[in-house]
Amino acid sequence: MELGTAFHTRALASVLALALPTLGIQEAAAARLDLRVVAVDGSVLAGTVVVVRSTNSSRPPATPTKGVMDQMNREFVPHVLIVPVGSRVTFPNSDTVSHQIYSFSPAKKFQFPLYRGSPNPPVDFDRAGVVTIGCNIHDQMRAYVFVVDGQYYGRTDTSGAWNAADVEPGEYTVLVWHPLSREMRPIIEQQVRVTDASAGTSLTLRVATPLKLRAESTVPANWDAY
Amino acid sequence: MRNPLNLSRCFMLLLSAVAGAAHAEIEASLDLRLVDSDGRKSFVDGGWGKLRYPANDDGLNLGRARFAWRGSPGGDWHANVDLSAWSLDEHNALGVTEAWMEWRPVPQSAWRSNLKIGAFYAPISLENRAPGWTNPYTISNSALNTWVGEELRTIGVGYSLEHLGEGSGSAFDFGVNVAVFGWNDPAGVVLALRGFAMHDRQTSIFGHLGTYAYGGRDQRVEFAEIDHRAGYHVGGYVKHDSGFELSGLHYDNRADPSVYLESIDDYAWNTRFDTLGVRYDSPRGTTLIAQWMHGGTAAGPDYANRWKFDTEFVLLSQAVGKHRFAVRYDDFSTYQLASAFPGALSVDEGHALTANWTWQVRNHVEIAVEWLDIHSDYSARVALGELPRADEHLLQMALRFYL
Repeated sequence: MELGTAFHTRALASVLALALPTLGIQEAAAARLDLRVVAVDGSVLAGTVVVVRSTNSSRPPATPTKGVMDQMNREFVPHVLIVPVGSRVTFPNSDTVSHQIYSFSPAKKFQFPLYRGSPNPPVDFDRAGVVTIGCNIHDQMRAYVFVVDGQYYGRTDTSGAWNAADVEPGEYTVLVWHPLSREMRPIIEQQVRVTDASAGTSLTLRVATPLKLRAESTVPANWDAY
Repeated sequence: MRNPLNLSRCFMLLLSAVAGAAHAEIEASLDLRLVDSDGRKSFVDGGWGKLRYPANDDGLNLGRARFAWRGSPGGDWHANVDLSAWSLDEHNALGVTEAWMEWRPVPQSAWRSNLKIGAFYAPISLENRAPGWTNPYTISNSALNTWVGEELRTIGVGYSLEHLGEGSGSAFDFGVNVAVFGWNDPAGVVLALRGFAMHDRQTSIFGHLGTYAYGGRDQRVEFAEIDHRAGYHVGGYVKHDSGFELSGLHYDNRADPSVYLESIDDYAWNTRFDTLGVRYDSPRGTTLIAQWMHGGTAAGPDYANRWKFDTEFVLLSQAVGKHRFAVRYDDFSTYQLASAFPGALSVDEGHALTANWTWQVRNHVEIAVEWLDIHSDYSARVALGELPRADEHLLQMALRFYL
C-alpha cells in the first residue's frame, strides 16, 4: 500500500515534471486578442475575414481542416469559407438541379462536370489566396474560399468584432479582407504586437480608404430560378 | 434553309442527339388562370382585341402547361427542349417554344464564349428571365416582349463572347453576341395587321398565331423560310456590379418582301428594329426595367406596304419576403407608311397600366394576381364594324404549380 502510494506519487511527480513546463509556458503564452474592424467613416464592418499571421516565418500556419461548401436553392452555403492552407473542401450539391462549378482563381483552378449529390473528391487548397467559386449554369451563384496561411483566423460579427482567446505572444501581421470588395486584396494590413498582459491586447483597425463594394442581393436566388 | 419541312427534320435530329444524354433534368409546371375580362374578340380567335382572354373567356382557363427537358450529351454541350400547351382548344395544343444545343465550356479565364444552335430567343428581354422564358414580375408581358414571344425566334446559330469582371478585379461584366438565322420571314405581319398586344402566350415553332379576319383566315404561320435569305442580329450588354445593366440589340431578318410563299399564303416580311434597355436590381429587392424598341416592316413587291413601330415600357418591382409587387406602364404604336391598296393608312396607338402581386405560397406553389388596363386606338377596327377605340380590362389570377 505504502509502496504503491509512493510509486504513484513518484509517477505523478514525474508526469507533472514533464508536463508542467509545457503547461507553464502555454499558460503564460495564452493571450487574448480583441479586434474591431471599422470603415474609414468609423462604421462597423461585419463579415470581414480576419487573418492573424506570425512574423516568425518558421511558425506553421493553423492546422488544416476538412471543409464543406454545399449548394442549396441555387446558392453556395456558406458563401464565404475560411480554411487554413492545406485543407480539403468538399462541394456537395443538395439541389435537385445539376451544377457545374469551377474556379479560375490563381490560388486554385479546378472544375467539376455537371453533377448532383457528392460524386467528387475533396479539393485540396494548397496555396494561400482567395478562390472565387462559380457555376457555369447559374451565373448568379458565387462563393469565396479564403485559403489562409495565418495561425488564427475568423470573421467579424455584426458589431465588427473578432477575437482569439489563445494567441501566443509575439509579433503578427493582421490581414483583413472584405468578401464584397472588388479587388481581392486585403483592405487592412497591419503589424500587431500581442503581449501576455492579463488584460489582453485590444485594437480597432480602420480601413484607410473608402471601400468599393459589390452590391449583394438579399433576395432569395430562387425567385428567378432557372 | 430550303423549306419549312427541313425545320422539323432539324428538330428531330436535335431530339435524337440529346435523347441519350447522360445527365438529364426535367422541369414541369402548370399555370391555371382565373379570368375576369371585358376584352374585345381576341387576336387568338382572329379578332382585333389586345388581350389573350376576351370577355367570353371569363372563368377558369389553362394559362400554360410546360414541360422542359435539359441535359448534357457530353463534353461542354448542353441541350434544352421546351414544350408548352397554352389552351385546351384547337390553338396549338402542345408546341415547342425553344429547342437548342449549346456549347458552353467552363471558363478558364475572365473570358467566356458560347455557341448556340437551334431555335431560341434572341437576348432582347430584360423581363423574361425565368425558366421557359417566363416573366417573374407580371403575368402579362410588356407590349415589347409580348411581340418578341409572338413573332421572333432565332432559328440558326448564335455566338456570344463575355468578359466576367469578378475574376479580373473589374466592376464590369460585358459581352457581345451575334446570330445568323432563317425561318423568321413572317416576323412583322402581326404588328402590321394587328398592332401590339399584351399577354404571356408564346408562339410555338411549329404553331400558329391568330391575327386578323381578312379572307376568313385567322391563323398565321410564324416561323417559315420564304426567301432563302439569312437574317442576323447583333447585340451587347454591360453590367456593373452595383446592379446596373445596359443592353441593346439590332435585328434584321433581311427578308425579300417581293417573295411570296403559296403554302402559307404569305410574303416574306422585311423586318428590322433596334432595342435598348436598362435594368437596375438593388440589393434590397427593387428592380427597375426600362426598354425601348423602334423598327419597321414591309411586305409586297417594291416594299409597297410599309409600317413603322415603336414601343417602350417602364417596370418597377419590389420583393418583400415571399411577395413581389410590380407596376408597369407601356406605350406602343404602329403607323402604316405606304400601302399598295387604296384607302386610308392604318394607325394603332395605345398605352397600358399593369399591376401585379405574386406570392410564393410555399415551395412549388405560387399565386399571382394581376390587373391590366389597356387602351388602344386602331383605325382598321372600323372594317369589322367596331369602334377604333378599345378600352380593355383584365383581372386575372394565376395559380402555379412547379415540379
